[in-house]
Amino acid sequence: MNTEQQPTLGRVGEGFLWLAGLSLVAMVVVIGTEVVARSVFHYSFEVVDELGGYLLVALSFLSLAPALKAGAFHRVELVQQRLSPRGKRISRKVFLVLSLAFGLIMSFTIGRYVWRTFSQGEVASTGWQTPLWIPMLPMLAGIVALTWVLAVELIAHRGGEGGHDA
Amino acid sequence: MTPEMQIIAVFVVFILLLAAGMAVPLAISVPALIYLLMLGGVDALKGLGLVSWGSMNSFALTAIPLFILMAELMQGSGLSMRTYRGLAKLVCVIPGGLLQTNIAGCALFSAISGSSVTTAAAIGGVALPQLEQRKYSPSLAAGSLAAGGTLGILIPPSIAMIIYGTFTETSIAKLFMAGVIPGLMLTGLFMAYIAVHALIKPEIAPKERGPQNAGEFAIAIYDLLPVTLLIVGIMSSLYLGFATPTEVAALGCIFVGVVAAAWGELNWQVIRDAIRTTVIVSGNIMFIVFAAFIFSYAISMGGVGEKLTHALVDMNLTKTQFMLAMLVLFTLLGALVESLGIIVITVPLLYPVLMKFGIDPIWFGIVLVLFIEMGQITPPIGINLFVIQGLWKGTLQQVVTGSIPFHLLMFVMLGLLVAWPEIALWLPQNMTTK
Repeated sequence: MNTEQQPTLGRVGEGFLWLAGLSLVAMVVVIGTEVVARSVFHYSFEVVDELGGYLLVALSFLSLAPALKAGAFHRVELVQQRLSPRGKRISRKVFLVLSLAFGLIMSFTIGRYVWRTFSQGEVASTGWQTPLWIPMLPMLAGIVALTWVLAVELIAHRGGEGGHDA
Repeated sequence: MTPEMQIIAVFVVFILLLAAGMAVPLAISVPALIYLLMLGGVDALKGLGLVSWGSMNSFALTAIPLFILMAELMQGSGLSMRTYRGLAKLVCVIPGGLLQTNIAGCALFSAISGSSVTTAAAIGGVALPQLEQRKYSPSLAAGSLAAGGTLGILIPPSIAMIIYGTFTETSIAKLFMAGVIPGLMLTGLFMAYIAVHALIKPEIAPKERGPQNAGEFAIAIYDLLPVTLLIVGIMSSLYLGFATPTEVAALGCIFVGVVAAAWGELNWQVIRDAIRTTVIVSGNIMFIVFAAFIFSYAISMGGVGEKLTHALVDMNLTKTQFMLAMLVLFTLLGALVESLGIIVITVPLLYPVLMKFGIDPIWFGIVLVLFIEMGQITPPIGINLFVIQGLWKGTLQQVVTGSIPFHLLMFVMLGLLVAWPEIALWLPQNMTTK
């Protein structure tokens, strides 16, 4: 779905988009290298499952804010198309408030979980024994960025500006 | 409030938010959080951190963004266009001309892309201007593309199957293989319908010239070669167990990059755009998956799956009656809920029930994908209808009218799958698993 005109994502959206993009490229490199090494040299790095999972977490959460800013979340437009401008404004505000509540709850619960993992020194049960708070950080950063974008949208909405698709 | 009333209230909130136009992943997550709060207050939210990490840290799901990237690279580098051109030359001699190319092109692109929307947009964007210029029946042109696009999730790779496989812990490679024969049969049914229609009403499609000499034939084959190699590579690696779907997706990205570079149509702008679009599209899909895990956690905390299983078992339904109930449920949901939303909402609830009725999860996965395909061309929210409408000058009504015969053919395919489950199960039963 290449778009002729790329949407403007703002500084937060662009920054997170390229961090997520780096995770994507790293995924291709890590998994591709493993398959080639295994097939051609009969050698496995034995870290690809672990790294692939971490990179997916990073990509999934870091891409939330850019996807919101780009208006990429699927929505059912049927009722929206039939609402008056006032109805649209009210429904958007309700969606933004509910979404922000979701973002705050998730940021808090994920933040607490990452902190607990860090303070208890939990490590992955793999050869690398990765301290788990490190791959968890992009998850926290991504959900906080989503919450931030939602908060900015809500403030902009109060000021009467257009927004994205919470 | 009784536990049953709590569940009903949460589903009502979900449907209301979804219908009112809230973003799908948030419309799933918010009621799930409300349900958790109803069940155990703030304490019930404590597990969400672990759920978030444990569910999304999944190597199998890594295939989703990789398959999206592969399709984006194909499209951005012009490989899709070249493939369509080659295919058009070879297939357009069948009655129906370029309408046949629409279906064959969608089937071919489906073997690279895991998404119906991407398939419909990729082939529709290339085909519609030519179809309009050459005076093909507008509604059939649009309908064939909307319906052809749905093959994207039946013919492997398929994002819908990856998500289904992750939630049901079913082998994704086996699901992919199970989609091959039904996907090819549905392609055949679509093409046969167009051919018969064109023979009865020749005015719907002008006669096209196939390759006029060996040189034109060779060029058409040359245009198709890279994609054919890619598809053969993907299918054989999966069937023979050389690689997992995720590994195949990563290798596919590298292969497409190399081929596009060799053909001189890959540059930094194409790569940048492909990465950008992949991240944004993945952001939406992975958020739906994440929301589904939260939803799944909430309903498992409430024991909803078990309650539903008991309720259905107590009704003493036969397997056929159960399948008919599923037909009604998914037809209704298909008209109301977005495709991935259907999977993530229904599968955690229905999976335990399937086991009770002795239904093969691989077979059910394919049936579910067919239901979702129908939903994608069912008004009012069938997403492929809107994708095609956004690409041309005609009306939504014409797209809907044109897709109706294909919708009916999907029911025929569904009937065949119910009557002969081996259509889906034969390949996975004979493959080397990885």
